[in-house]
Amino acid sequence: MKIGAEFPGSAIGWAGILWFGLLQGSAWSQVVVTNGLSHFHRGPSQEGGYIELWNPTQERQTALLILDSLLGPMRDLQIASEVPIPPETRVRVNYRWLSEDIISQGVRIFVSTAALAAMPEVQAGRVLVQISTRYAVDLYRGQICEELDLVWSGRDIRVTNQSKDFWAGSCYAIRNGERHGRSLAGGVLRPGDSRVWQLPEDSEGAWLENADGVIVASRRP
Amino acid sequence: MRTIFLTSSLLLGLSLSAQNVDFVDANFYIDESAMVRAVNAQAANLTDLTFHIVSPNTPGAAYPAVPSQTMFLQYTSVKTAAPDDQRQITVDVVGGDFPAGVSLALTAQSAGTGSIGSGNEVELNSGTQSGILISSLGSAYSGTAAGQGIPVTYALNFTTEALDASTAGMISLQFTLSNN
Repeated sequence: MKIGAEFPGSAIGWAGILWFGLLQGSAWSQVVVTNGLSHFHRGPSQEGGYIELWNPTQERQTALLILDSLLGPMRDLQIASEVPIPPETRVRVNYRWLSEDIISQGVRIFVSTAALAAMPEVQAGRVLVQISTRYAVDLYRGQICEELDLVWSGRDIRVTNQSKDFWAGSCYAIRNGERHGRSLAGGVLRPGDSRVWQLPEDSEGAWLENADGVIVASRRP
Repeated sequence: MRTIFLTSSLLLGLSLSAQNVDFVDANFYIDESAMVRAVNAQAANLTDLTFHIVSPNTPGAAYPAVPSQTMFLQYTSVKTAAPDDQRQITVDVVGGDFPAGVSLALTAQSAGTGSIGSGNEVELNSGTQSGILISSLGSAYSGTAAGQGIPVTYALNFTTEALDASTAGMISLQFTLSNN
């Protein structure tokens, strides 16, 4: 399928044309992640886990897994880099933390599907931009801390994790002295991470609840 | 995978009026799905989108602007508890170089049913190689029909005096669905 935006009647012709193309092969992510995009492992006793992938298509696909570091060394995680998946099949890609290190660690796994189409040929005077999609699955190992440093600035609250462990949880507004509504923001704060989250105008404060249900609440000054 | 158990004691309350009923545990498995694909306005998998920058008709004129084009990111996202309770879609330049004098502005508008998050604009060029298009996405889906999905509008920005036609090539963009 081609969508073109051409300008007829050029005085200079093709020699003066710079093509800028966006090309997407069949590399859109047919493989699907079905057990979440963030996995937590508490300490060295839990040696590993798995990423569940599903190939919902009628064709055999190959999932590619590429590691990136979120915190600490990547060499401490063992996982396959290429996984063939039969049609309409789910597979578990096991991973294993290799060391007994108790220091907090984080690894991001990029999951994409190998392209079936051949690489396009780039013609002179033409720019092709390939488009693909992928998923990022974050794996963390460590402990979850309970305390945070909070600094208000108007409706914004700066949340800083100054511990040596992760903080993982969500931020809610406080109304009538209680947690109100859905999570406004959230995620994982690595040791030293700092984020600024904005609370609604009518909120009385911020309710920060970690994955263990431990709450840090702060009224807006 | 999230597992919810409805125990026999819970089911007991529902079956007081029945006689000789066996109690059966009901297990619900909910996939924590992450699915995304790029399609055109007709909801077909997008294979090629081309912008042409052509010379003007009249000597002395600047190169005319190139009309913007729109693609759609169709997605299904089912979140879980924190920290995977909010997701985002980012775009990265993972290969190639922009031609001299050319930048590409991507504008995404959140769309779908559920916690659809909010859209942003990202301008990619030789200096800026990544950005967040959609943030705070929760459990939501876009639909699969034509025109459904997150519209991502591409606007090519350039000035004639900064163009250099000899710097054409290939650029790879990658859209990533991740935890916030």
